Amino acid sequence: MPRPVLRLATRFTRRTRTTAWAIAFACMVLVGTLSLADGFANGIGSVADRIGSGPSIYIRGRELLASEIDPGLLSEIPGDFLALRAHPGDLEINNESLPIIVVAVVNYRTGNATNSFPVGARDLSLDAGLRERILEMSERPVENSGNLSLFGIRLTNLPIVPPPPTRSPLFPDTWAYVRADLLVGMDLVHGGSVQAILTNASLDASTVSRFALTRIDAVGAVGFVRGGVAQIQGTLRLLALVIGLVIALLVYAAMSLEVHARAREIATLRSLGATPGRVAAVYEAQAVLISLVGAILGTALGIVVAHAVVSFAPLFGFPNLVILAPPLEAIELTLSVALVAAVFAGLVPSRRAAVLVRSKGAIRS
Amino acid sequence: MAGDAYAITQGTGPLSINVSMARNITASGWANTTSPEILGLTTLAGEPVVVRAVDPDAFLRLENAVPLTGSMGGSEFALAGENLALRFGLAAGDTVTVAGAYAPRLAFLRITGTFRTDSAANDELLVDFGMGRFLTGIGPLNYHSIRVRTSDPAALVRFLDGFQASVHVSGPGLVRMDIHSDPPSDERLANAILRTGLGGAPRDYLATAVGEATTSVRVVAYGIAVLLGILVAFGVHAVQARSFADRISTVGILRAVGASNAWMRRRLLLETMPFSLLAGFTGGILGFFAGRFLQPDVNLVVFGHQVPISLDVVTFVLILLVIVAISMGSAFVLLRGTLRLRPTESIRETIAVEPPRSLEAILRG
Repeated sequence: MPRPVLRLATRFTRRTRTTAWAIAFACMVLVGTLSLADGFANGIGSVADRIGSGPSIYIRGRELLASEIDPGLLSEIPGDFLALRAHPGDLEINNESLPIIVVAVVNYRTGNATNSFPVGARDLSLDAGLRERILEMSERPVENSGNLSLFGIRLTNLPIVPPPPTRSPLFPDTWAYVRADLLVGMDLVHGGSVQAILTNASLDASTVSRFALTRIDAVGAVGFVRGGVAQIQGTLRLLALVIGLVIALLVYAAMSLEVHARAREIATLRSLGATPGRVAAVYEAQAVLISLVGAILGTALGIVVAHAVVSFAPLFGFPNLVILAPPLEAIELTLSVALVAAVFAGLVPSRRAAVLVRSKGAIRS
Repeated sequence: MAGDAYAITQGTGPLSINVSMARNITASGWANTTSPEILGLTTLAGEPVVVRAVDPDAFLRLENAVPLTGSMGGSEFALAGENLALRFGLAAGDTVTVAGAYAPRLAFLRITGTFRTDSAANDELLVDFGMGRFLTGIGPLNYHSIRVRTSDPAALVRFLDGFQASVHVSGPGLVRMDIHSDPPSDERLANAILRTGLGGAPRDYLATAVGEATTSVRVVAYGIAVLLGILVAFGVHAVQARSFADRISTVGILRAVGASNAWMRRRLLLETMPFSLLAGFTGGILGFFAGRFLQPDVNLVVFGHQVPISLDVVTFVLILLVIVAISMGSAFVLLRGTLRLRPTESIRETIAVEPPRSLEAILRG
């Protein structure tokens, strides 16, 4: 008996039509808001892509120092790049102790790795800025040997060698350089893993995805704006919860009144042989239909209003970077929220409809 | 940015915010506290963060900041504001990665302490000038701004004029003053910082992009306000329509006994206004307290700064006015419809029911 169920479910009254409109306006807010936020992200992305942000830095996770990339996989990455190992440690030199960053840089060219600096297996190269600091602290020239504490291990009498002959403009001059083998020897897990990959050209999307890498914007202002927009988007997605709650309340109120108003009709249906499940299906289907109709209407309204806001803003002195695109994700989210809210909100009224008449003989004229 | 101090930022002339100016202001008798600063926008674990290079003593004094943990000075330091430290789980001794601000850079900061202040700096990271210059690419003798606390702003302005500095000054009781400078095309701080086209971007390109990005935030915010306004307007109208439906006959009776249309409008206005004022007031206050109740568990963070929950009188009054206007408009629309009817038609009682359709007809399709 699906067709009669559908016919009864689609018999909209003034109350249910009004509810559908109310749901439409709630969904309009969600779609419009998410469209504007996504459009803003598109605009920012478009500008950021045009700004030369220097070399690309890829890590695993969100923090470079906690990133661990398996060095065994690096030869599979196409192109030329630097593999950077970086760890915070402590240096004892000139009778002073100071926290430093210890790095090892391995150059990869078409799959071949070379670690040309420093040359000696235990050499510790201190860059110019770090040497100045030691000089400032101890007021005497940097000694020829020092002790390094890293991964809870203390290496003593490491030969101190001059600063690296060349340095990436990305790096400050306050780091200490060692060979990668030294870090691997100290701690196979942490010292063995690579923290970042630095390339002049961006890695292709498939490589990034295969190695689960995340790109860091080397120009922080670009990353700052991108991150700021992402924060706004994340916050606005919480609006879906509020809208879901509003839809659920609207559907619950409308369907409860509908069941109450149609008590006699429900009794008649039961006397004609409709099972409680069938009666419940009528009202559950109606709740879902109202919600979906409202959501579809609201989606269209939201897109129109978002375009109107962006189009009219420059007339009010707000030139902007908002580039609206079809908000497919927002539509999907809105329809899902509306559907889930309707299903749950319709459960209680439809159950009430199903148990309204417990026996077929209980119909009063 | 200025708070209760006077902020000096770069004007349109030659670079003037430098070490010499800061020293001269510090040495003057009228300056109580002088804080030269370099501002950088960067990311920390993918999240936007403002890095500020400062002289810690002057800055903490100017901000009335309270040291919480660690040490507040030294030649190399990184101090985290309390909110920032809480958000990222930072403590003294931790090392974090940051990108360059306006030039491609990579640096590690060892957190040496945390502090608390009531200003936006509570979400920021303070670093030494060496690190600030490395991250921003600003020259070795320059700053982005100098903040001065003084009881004699006239002396400050006289000094800047005599120093032949091209600057903008603003602060308590002092609307922006342009000294040896044209008025800025854009008053935002980002424009002042990025005007020189740092970071390899063409002159003014990045500044324009950031300016438009911040305007876009306004467009998105106003757009969301418009969407919510539409939702509220229809909500108010729906509630008033339901309430007014019961009083249509009253309107008819009043008109039948001689009430004019203008009198009816005035009467409706008087009845609607107190309720709409009360509703708007209650809603605003509820929103404020709900926000306060949810903090600190639910924090709204936008562009690296936690949005404080405060009762802004202007916004509050604006919301009240909008609610009152919507209610009035809705009431007039409803009344206009009723006034089109003859009094006798308004008085006639009709049962508001759906047109009867037999259940059998529906079931048969």
